Amino acid sequence: MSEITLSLTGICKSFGEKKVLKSVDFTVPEGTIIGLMGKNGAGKSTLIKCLLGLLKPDEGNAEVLGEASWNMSVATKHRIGYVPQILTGFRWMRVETMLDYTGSFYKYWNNSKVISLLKKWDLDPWSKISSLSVGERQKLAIIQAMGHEPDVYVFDEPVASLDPVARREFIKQLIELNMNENKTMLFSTHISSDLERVAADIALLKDGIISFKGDLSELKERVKRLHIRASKELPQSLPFHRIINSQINHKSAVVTVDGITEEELIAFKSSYQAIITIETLNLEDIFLELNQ
Amino acid sequence: MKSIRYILLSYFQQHFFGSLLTVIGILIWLVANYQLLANHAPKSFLGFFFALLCMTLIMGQHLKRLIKSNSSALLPHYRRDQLIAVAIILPFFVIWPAIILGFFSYPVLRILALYLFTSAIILWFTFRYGENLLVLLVLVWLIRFNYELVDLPLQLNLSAFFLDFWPFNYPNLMASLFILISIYIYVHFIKNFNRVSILEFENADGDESDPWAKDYDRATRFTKRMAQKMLKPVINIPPNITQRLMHLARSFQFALFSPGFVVYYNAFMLVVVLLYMGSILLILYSEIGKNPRYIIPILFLVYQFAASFLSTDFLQHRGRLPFLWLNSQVPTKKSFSKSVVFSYLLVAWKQYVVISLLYTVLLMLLSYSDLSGFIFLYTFGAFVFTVIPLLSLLLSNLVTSPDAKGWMIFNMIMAFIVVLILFRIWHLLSYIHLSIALGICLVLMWAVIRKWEHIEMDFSSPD
Repeated sequence: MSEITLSLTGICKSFGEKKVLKSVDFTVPEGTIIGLMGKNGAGKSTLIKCLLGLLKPDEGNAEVLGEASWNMSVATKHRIGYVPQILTGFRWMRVETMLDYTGSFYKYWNNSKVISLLKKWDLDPWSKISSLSVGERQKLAIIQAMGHEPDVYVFDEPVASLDPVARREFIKQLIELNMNENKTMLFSTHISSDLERVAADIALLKDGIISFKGDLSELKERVKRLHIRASKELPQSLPFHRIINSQINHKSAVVTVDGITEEELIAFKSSYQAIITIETLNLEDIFLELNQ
Repeated sequence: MKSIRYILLSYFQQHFFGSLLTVIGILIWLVANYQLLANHAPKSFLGFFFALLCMTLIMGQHLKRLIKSNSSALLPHYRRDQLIAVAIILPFFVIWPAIILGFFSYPVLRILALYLFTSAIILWFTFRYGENLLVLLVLVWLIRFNYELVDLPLQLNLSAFFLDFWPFNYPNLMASLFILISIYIYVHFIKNFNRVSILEFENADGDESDPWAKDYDRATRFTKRMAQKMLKPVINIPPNITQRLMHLARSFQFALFSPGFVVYYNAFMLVVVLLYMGSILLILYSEIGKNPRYIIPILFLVYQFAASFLSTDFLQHRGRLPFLWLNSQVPTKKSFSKSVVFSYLLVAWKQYVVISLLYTVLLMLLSYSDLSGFIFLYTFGAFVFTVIPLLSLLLSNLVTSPDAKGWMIFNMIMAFIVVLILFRIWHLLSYIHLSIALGICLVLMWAVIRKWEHIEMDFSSPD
């Protein structure tokens, strides 16, 4: 059984009156890729910062590689690669000096890998950071996080500003790292197609809690949209468990459910003499439904 | 180590020149005034002390930026290297004043303790609450200073107070204790603030796409809260007037930050600054014949002036207001938010107060009797920096469809009228009156700011 690499237990975090995280329990086993999804402002970055000890949670425990995040040892820091949403740093530095600076903190720094990534992503080592575009800065942040070849990668919206080519390249890197080197990865995103490409497990953050965590195919299997046409007038409250959204219009309805059994469907069909078409949703549709 | 070299390089890259000039200026002053110091002239010590604190503020500003880089906290040994870098920089600012003052027969240990302790407290407040608290303190100090000039019974010989405040039989022991406490504060906040203070504020609004707004929110929140508490019993604007003010403010806001307008506004502010700085330079120049020491504040003025423009992108016309050099993140249309007017006013005011503090210190060092000219300039500057934006704000409904050129002309005319009027009434108004006027301006400003926050507005289509 694989070990737990990242773990949050009962994490609560508020900013003033605003409760961002409400008792979040979340684990990332070793060697898995998990995509953290949520709307803007859902608390994805806050969750990641609590996880990495960059923010102190009001309640709960955060652990990285079995160590409390808030007092992370230097040895553990060597094993983490983090890409923040916004690259902060010395704007006066050149790309090359920035990487040199970052590399100077680590015992091991794979310079040839860094150079090859710079070439692959078309980043000029002599460019000043202040002159880089947002996308280029994001590429630089990703390269910075990969240089010391950590065991755990945490990316906060890593692809938000990347062009499609760079995004595909990034996703490819993730898959290779995971497949070949069994690296653990957590990345937050709201671009669902990337998650589908990686075939990652996903965690949905909604209203300050993880509303779903599991395999993507499992989620797709669970969440279905039902198109109902009945002979009788439908009630305002349909007799399904775990309805996510519903639109009822006399004898027809469109209902999104989180899990439905064959028995429920048969019972409903016979009660209302209904024809039910079941639509399988893609991740983006599921995300939209869950966040409506 | 390479990382420390980079950290230090970053410091020198950004602030060394300014700090070095300050140090050189003070050293020159010290050489010119060593007899005064040796005689323990209280005012000269006080001014000197404040100049040192200004340098501390500069250093604090830099360090805050340096360590704010939150992702860096995950770099192995980052904080250790940071502490080493600070340890290298700090003595430069802390030790030498003590040595110099010791040379001039002040008790070295006590001076060192006093300076370390005060600067540690100030740094801590700066990091924890933003520099606005410090600005408020400076303001209080300036007001007290004004009163002192007219011999009101608020006089307090601060330097004597500082130097004589050791009510103990073992002063050196106590001084050592204070030094230890100071070191503890330094180490404590450097260890913790990058993980708690800064990030707590940064994430408070959940808006992570607008670093400019975050920075200002963090910096202004404390002052805003204080102002709200202070002004609550005083200000009670009826809702309809508030709505009207908000409408006006909104028009102003659109006008001020509409594309193209900022360039004109820069030009306008450049004129105002030139007039303001020029008038100070003229006064000082006329005094040089009487006292050669006035060359020092002129050097300072030149530096401040150059720094104001060099540290912004004014020349490149990239949509930044010219002399908000204390914070290089100045609003552009993209980073437009509803707190922008508030932020603008606050930053302009903050900028002005900090510069005023430097001038006050310098002029106080140089002149011991007649400061009415300076007081005038101080108040005049405050007027320019606070009232003109406010008046523009209030009168913005004159322009039904905000137009960049129209606004530029309007502001230019306003500025010249104000300058003319103030030059005419220079000899008619005492600094007390001007101080009262300044107070009224401030209250008005806060009133607008306070109500602004409660109005929901849609800024999506400025036109």
